Amino acid sequence: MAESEPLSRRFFNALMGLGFVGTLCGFAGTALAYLWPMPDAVVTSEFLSTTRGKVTGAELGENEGVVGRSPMGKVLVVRKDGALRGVQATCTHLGCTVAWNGESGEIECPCHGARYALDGQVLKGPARDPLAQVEVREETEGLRILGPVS
Amino acid sequence: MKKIGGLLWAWFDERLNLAPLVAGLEANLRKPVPAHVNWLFTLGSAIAALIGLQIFTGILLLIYYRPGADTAYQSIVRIMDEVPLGGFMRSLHVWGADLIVIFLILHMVRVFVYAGYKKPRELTWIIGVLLFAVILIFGFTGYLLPWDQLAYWGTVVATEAPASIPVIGPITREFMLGGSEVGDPTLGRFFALHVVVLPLVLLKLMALHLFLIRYQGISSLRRTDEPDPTPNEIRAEGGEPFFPHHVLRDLTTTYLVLGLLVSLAILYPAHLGDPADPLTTPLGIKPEWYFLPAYQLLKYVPEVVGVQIPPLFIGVLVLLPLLLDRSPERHPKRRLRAIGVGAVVLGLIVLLGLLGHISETRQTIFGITYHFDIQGMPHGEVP
Amino acid sequence: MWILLALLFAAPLFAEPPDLEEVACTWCHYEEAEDFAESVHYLQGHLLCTDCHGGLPFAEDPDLAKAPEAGFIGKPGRADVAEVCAQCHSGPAGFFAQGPHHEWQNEANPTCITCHSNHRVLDASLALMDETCSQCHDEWSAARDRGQKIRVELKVGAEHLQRVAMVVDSLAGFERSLQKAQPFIEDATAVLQSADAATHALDVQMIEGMVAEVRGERGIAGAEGVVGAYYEKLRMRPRIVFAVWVFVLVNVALFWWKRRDLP
Repeated sequence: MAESEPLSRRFFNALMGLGFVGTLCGFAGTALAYLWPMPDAVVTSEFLSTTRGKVTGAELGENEGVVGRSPMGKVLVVRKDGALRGVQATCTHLGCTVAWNGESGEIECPCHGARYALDGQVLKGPARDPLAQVEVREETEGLRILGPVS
Repeated sequence: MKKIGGLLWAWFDERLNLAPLVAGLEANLRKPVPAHVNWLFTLGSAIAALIGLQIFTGILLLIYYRPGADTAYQSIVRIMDEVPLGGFMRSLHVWGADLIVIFLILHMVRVFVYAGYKKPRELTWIIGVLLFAVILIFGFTGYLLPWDQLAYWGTVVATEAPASIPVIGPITREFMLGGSEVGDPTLGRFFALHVVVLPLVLLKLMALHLFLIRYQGISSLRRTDEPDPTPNEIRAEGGEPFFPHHVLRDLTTTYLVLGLLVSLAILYPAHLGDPADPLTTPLGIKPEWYFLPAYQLLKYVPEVVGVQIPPLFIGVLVLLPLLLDRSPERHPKRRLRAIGVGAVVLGLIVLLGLLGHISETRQTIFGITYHFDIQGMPHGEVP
Repeated sequence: MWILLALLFAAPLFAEPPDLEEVACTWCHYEEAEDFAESVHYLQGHLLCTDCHGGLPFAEDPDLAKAPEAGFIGKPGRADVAEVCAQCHSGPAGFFAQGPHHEWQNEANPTCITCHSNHRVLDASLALMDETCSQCHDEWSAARDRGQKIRVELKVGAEHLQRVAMVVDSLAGFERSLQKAQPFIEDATAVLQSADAATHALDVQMIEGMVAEVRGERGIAGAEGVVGAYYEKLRMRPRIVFAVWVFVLVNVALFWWKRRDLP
């Protein structure tokens, strides 16, 4: 009897501990399900779009650039010598959004001063990797982002 | 596992000298509770657990709720329709509030019957009354946050009365509302109260309340002019240690109450009415059930008088151990008059509440349809 | 029922129709006027004789009232009947032209007014098919059979949709998730309404296809899916509550055991 008593007592104590842990798991589990990130509310279309809607070619003059969303993420489109050039707009250094500087003819990142050429090559650090080039086609509906330049 | 525990203990002990602290805490927890302590004495810890759950669900809701007259309603729709378990968390929060008030009333009745408010525990009681008021204000401010028709107009009705206080009435009401009527400023200040101010006040009061209870122990049933029994005397009378004996009772009640809360939240989920429309008052608007006694009272007495009665009632509760009941008797059998008065007052409050509930409704009892007027009086309907 | 709704959509429901006695045509053509006065075109559509026959309704001089310059066409011939009706009912008229009766020169074929009457036009309903097909076709003929198939198909489809719509309506009041069923009901209703016009083609397969669409994933089946998901959720609730209580009571039992086990 001395042998079985402590065993069953330990068992029931363990079971009670399990009960507490179970309760905690219940709270943690439901909280986790509740807090799980939901799908993004931002809808991307194949046409370059900003918060105001699709960007049309008419809005983009010579030597002007515009940053918008696309299935490839944020993309910078610049009209240079009549043609549309597209690059990824996320700086390869720490992720800030770059912008086109028409005066200098360079893509600039406002966070730490990185500079890129229109083909994405790094002109000045601290960025090391180039921006991916993106193929853009001007259509009546807007600027269609086709994908990376092959 | 035990080795890690030992290492952690040693690290803190070297810096804080834990041993006497823990010894003191353990001694306090092992102190016996009086023999008469029964299951009714577990209500307090059940309330504490419910409050903890309100904080838990409240924080979760806070992550998705957007205060503001044009965003609040949609954010609640989002919580109910899109967020996983969002409707469940909201239902827990809504039902939790109701259960806290119910158990709080039961707890206060228990304390009253067992004279726990008498010397030397007047401070514990006063803090308890303040906690009661804080919980009511929690309910009042939280009710507005969904910004649906019921929330909006219930708040309009509830804030209409303070304006009739002489001199300071109208400015008091405008201060409460942040304007001349319930609107976005009202939502802003109710939100700030509900989410920051009241929780801070609540937690501090709760800490004090719990500290005093552990420090002074549960009151005995002896007269207040007799010395409190020593722990050995309590043990001799059959009192069991607080930890783990009474704590296990507390845990049992807490689990049962939380089970009840979860069941209610799953089987009767919280609803959301139509969005608030300041230009359309729906039929039959009433405040939440725990404000019904005050609401109904205002229909029988002039507003100026009626609006002062609820604060006076709180005041009476505060003064109870200080001025109103200074008799040294604690045992319920020897306090029948006090208990009788308490029962009558409680009965009146409950009756007012029932009248408030049934007023302005139509009920069919034993085949005959009655219309209850605004004062709760029945009139047989002509079929 | 849907045909009724389609006819009524343009009518200002709360205004009174104009007084027929003031319309000059009725002073001579009083029998036709009596019939017209009972029609939906007059009572709900607030139309006058001239809306189909052309001319000026209030001109007392017959030459003015029946002037061709005022658009007067008189009694339309067989060829022109469909054109007159198609001014408003282009849908049914278009389908009619695809159907077995489209050769207007053949006097054995009906025109619009053969089934719908010319002046005393009442609400068109599926029951009309019973009354009018029998005017020419024998009871057990292939033509009657075809009409019957179409009629039954539409009736069953409409009744099914009505049942589902009622269920969704009654539940949507207090269960938010059921609002997702509304688009399905709306889509199904739209298809069924277009089926009313398509009936005039008297093509059983076309109608069967349309009713199948009404019943399909984007219609009734979709709505029933939403309702089914809700009922499933309702069935799960007591089971979850049961599981919760099992957990609670097991823990309570452990606490109880622990208390008894203590010194």
